[in-house]
Amino acid sequence: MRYLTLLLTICCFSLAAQELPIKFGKVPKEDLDMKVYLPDTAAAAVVLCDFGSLRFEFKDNDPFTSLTRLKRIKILRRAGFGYGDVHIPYYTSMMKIKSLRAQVFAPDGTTTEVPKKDIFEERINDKWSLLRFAFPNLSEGCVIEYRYELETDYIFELPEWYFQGEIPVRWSELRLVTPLWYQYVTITNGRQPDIVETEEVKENFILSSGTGSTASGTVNAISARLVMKEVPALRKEQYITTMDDYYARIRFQLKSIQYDNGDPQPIMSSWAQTATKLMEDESFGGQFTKKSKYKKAWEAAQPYAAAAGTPGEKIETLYWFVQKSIECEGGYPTYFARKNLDDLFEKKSASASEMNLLLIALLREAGVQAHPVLISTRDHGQPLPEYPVMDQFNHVLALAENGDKTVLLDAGNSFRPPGMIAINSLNRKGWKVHAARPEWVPLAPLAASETYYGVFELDEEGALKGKIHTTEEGYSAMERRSDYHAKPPAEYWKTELQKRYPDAALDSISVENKDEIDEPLREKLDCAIPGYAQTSGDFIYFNPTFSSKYFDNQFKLERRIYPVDIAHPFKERIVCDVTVPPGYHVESLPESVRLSLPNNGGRFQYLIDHKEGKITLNAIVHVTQLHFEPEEYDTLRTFFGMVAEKYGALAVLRKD
Amino acid sequence: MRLLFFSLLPLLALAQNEPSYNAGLIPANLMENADAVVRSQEITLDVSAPDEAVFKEKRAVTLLNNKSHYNELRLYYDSFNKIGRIRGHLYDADGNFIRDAEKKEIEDRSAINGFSIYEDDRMRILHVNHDRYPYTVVFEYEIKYRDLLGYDDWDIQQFGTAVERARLAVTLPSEIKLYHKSLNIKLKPVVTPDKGKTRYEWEVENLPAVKQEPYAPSAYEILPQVLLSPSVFKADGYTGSMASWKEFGQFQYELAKGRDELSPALKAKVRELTADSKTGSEKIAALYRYLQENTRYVSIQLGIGGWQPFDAQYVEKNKYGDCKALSNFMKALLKEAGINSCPAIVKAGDSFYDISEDFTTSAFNHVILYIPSEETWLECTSDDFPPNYLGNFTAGRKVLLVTEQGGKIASTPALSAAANTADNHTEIVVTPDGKAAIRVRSNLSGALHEWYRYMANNLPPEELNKKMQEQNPIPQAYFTQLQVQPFKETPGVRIEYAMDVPQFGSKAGKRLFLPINPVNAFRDVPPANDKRIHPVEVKNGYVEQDTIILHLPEGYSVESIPAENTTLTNEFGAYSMQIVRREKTLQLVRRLEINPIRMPAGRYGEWRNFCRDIAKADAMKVVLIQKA
Repeated sequence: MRYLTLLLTICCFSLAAQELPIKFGKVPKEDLDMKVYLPDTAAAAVVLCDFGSLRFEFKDNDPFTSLTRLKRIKILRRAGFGYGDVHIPYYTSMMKIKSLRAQVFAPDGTTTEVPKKDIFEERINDKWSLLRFAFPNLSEGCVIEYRYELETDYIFELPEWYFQGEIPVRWSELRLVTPLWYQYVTITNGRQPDIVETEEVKENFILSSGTGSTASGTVNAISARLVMKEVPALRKEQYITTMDDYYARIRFQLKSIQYDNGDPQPIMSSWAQTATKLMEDESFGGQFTKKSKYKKAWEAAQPYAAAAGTPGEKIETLYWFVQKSIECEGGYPTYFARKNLDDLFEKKSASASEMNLLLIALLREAGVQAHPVLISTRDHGQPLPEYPVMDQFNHVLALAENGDKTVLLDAGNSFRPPGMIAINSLNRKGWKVHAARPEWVPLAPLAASETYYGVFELDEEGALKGKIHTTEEGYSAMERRSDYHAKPPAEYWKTELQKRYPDAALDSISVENKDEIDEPLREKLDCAIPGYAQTSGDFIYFNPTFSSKYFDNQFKLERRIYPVDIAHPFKERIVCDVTVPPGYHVESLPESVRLSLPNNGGRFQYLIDHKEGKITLNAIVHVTQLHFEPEEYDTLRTFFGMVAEKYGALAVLRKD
Repeated sequence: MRLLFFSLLPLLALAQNEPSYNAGLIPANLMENADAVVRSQEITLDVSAPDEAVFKEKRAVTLLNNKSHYNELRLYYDSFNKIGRIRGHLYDADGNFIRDAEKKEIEDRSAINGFSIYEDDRMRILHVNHDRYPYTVVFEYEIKYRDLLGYDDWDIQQFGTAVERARLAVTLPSEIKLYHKSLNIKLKPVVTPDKGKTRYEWEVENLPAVKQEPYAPSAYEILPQVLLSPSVFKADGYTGSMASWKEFGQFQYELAKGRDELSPALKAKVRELTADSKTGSEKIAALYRYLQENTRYVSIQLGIGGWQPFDAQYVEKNKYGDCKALSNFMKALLKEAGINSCPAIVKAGDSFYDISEDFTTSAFNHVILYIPSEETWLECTSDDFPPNYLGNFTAGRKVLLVTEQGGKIASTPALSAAANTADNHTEIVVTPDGKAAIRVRSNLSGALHEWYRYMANNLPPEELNKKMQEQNPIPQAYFTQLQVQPFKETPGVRIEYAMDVPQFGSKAGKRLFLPINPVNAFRDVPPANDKRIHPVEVKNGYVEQDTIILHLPEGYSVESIPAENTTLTNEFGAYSMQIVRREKTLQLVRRLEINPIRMPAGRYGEWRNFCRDIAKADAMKVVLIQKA
């Protein structure tokens, strides 16, 4: 859930005499005495108060912002000592951290300050740095606090504020005074602030110049106060996109600038303007619209492109050309090209985004319409179509037109055919950057599908012998081909079979379409599994489900806090024909069952029957719904519980 | 504090006679099991003084696929050394030159590990890629040392990497003697005089790739290596020697000397804490508890600080320290109570080189504390271990004791199978419709209990419940009650839980199929391998005893049970399962003992079969049928 508002619009309360929620060095006795945090009695630590106050200043008439932050944490138990190790990251070239002070209050009120020499500055890489320190003298019941000022002349975005984290927060407050000159859009995520107060004020700004003279002036400004109280801790769970989709937080992006008596200068007022700007950007549009950026790559690709006839063939050929020419670095550093495409092409190493930009350049040069589509990967968070906030994106895909059809291209993994984008890219929708007609396009995921068809004979010792035919399509084929890259198929299957059936022998295997990435992958296996069935006296007990991903219910937890987010639909079909040993008959079979998730979100069938000494099982698990709210979790869990139960069920054979 | 990084290659000056990097010229025996082949590696270490050396490497590696990282050069540096010019060259499969790496491709990054607050370690990284395999990457660089804390070892070979030819040359002035030892390879250096210095040269050729296998000894016992130690080294003004363990220990002792003074207030506190203690072990327990309750582990490593502990008063004031500082602080507390102790330097973790009397090396990464009078060992970075419990992290290996008389080798007690135990008592009540109520009471000790101790002491109950739920082998069953209670005085934990199971086992018609060992079934069967190369090593032994009482549902009788007696015994261990049928219950008694053992490679199949048979017996089902 997200909300967008223009900060500074509504004037609701007077902020005039609002007291500060916290003062450095003044810890109320009741906080020192606190033994347990009542709203969350299990908490090992609680943020008593996190207070930020942001204001604008000017130097040589250039604006910069200064955020004064004061954070106070109560450590209740040893398990919370880890919060005494503090890291404050900052962008080296654009940010400065000043006046850092940190101290710890023992439960008896005595204080120890962290000496300057124990505060370390670490350059992580050429962009980011960290201030790191560890609070000394921690004990159960102590209170730690630190304050600093973060200065930056990067006013395009204001520092993001997290109201919530992995420990509870009793009070989180952000105050801002922004001159009316700068109009910001705010994006809030998760729970909404409990208090939002804004007011128009006259603010005195000091304008210092390079020559040392200063002047001050009064400017109309908006003063805002945002408070969130008793914010519960959020802990990570499985099957989510990223915790950033769930933490309560607020971001600010500059919408426009309008100085007194001047015309408003939109910074990013519309998607259309954003698109135009991006297309002109040297690191983005410039890379594929200016031939000088990709000249060498095109020289190398041209013979291949020329040999391809139809647009469809060109797309296919150039997609593979880029995949084979460059090794993907992994990670999603940014959707911009960090170097010119030709440079990357020569170094044979690039990010997936850069590979896709190169692909766009080559496709266009070959006469195929191609456009960039900006997306947010799953681990980056949900897209935000309401407003052109650019840090929502971290990756770019290529969208190629082939007649009236389009195909999404995402290079970086040679086991994905054109049209199949990375699983991490499957995040709802992407924004097509087109100067004239930008638009949001759905990223409809392909499915993962696999079929196991087994024809077996069971003997009276309980050994199973026969053939398995498998077919994998979509993401299942991608995964299996990548398995085959790590291990040859015979070794892979032997290991897989022996994981569940240690005595299994693989007599032969053949693989079809191993390298024909566009085609379904098919395997034929001959195998024998001694000891498959449990035998006892006149009885043989055996499980007709010989293989499945769903023997165990992956949804093990009883409840969930966050929705379940599945990347793509999936389907698994198990067909099994078992001939019972001569002299035995079927005494009993598991019951057949059909089951559906509400709204046709998924289905399970387990149909089993026997005829003339032959047992036939036809089972399908098929899930198409990708998003399950916490209220729906119970249904999902029960569904896969039922699957696991059926896939563990035994058939009984008895001697005639 | 890192020393030299012989990550992978004397300088064969970028000569006229560049060898051919044609991948087709690699001998066939070196292609087997290889992901990469070191075509040539030339390393020189030219030592000019105890604290001054120049290290140069040139290495050419052909990458056969993307499974290795030889296309990346990672060089660590800190205040003790300086990296000179780095070069990278790329050649294609036929050995044709493709390009040189540019200076701007070199990345500079912090090398602080995740659990340190601060270290001065940094690294330079250079990546050279090509678009098709095989290809060859050549790296050349040099590092100048202004301080030396010994020399790093030569790791000749990594798993999955063949070596065509590699050479190491070490040149030293006459006042420094070089001690060396080769591991897992018979190798002797050629020693020659060289302009008033002595030159040692090792060369290897034609080493086929070595495969990695499960249940194998650590890499220190498999991969070829040359260990190097100088008779004299100097760092930050401190001079030391690796001529003997005694001398190396003396150096360590000097580094820490005089750093164990406490404030008068803390001295008084020590007397107060130990006033009621009658025995030495009571005093140790009281002071160890004080250490655990009042300090925490924080790692700060700067310059010589990688080896020298912060003094005791620093720890007293800040209530934190790293392994050296906390051990030193504990030593100071004990000293005040009249108990003598000494730091023990150790290589912690699963993979370690077991040091021997005949060769002095610095293959360590951790410090613990030893109290000779009580034969007691203390892990001073743990805030919840009982006294004299080291855990799997440092148990069962040789360590270097740092004493006033210098270094001495000692051994930490091993965690025998009998020290790692699980006693589980499981009661299962099944109803006619297939529901069940399960109640489990367990006592775990030693290595088996460590995870639970950590979780119980560090997670809120709800998160602990989740962790336990994630491990719960019974589908759809949730805890109605859960308690995990680590013992304070002994290395053990009591676990009790209850759960309601909506469908226990499976039901078909008039039959119920119930797993005989639902909560503690053995499942880890190692992969089959009929060409086993390395010896079989089972590192951790343990003993499990299970009693399972299964209350049969009304109206059902037993149609079949697996064998009433299953017994498996061999050198790897013993397994037994007895099933006793009573009128309304089945009682199962299970015992599993796994011995820590090493066996020749040929016995791997036996080990696997043993695991398989245990897994099979544990997976059996009881079949119940409705009475007519």
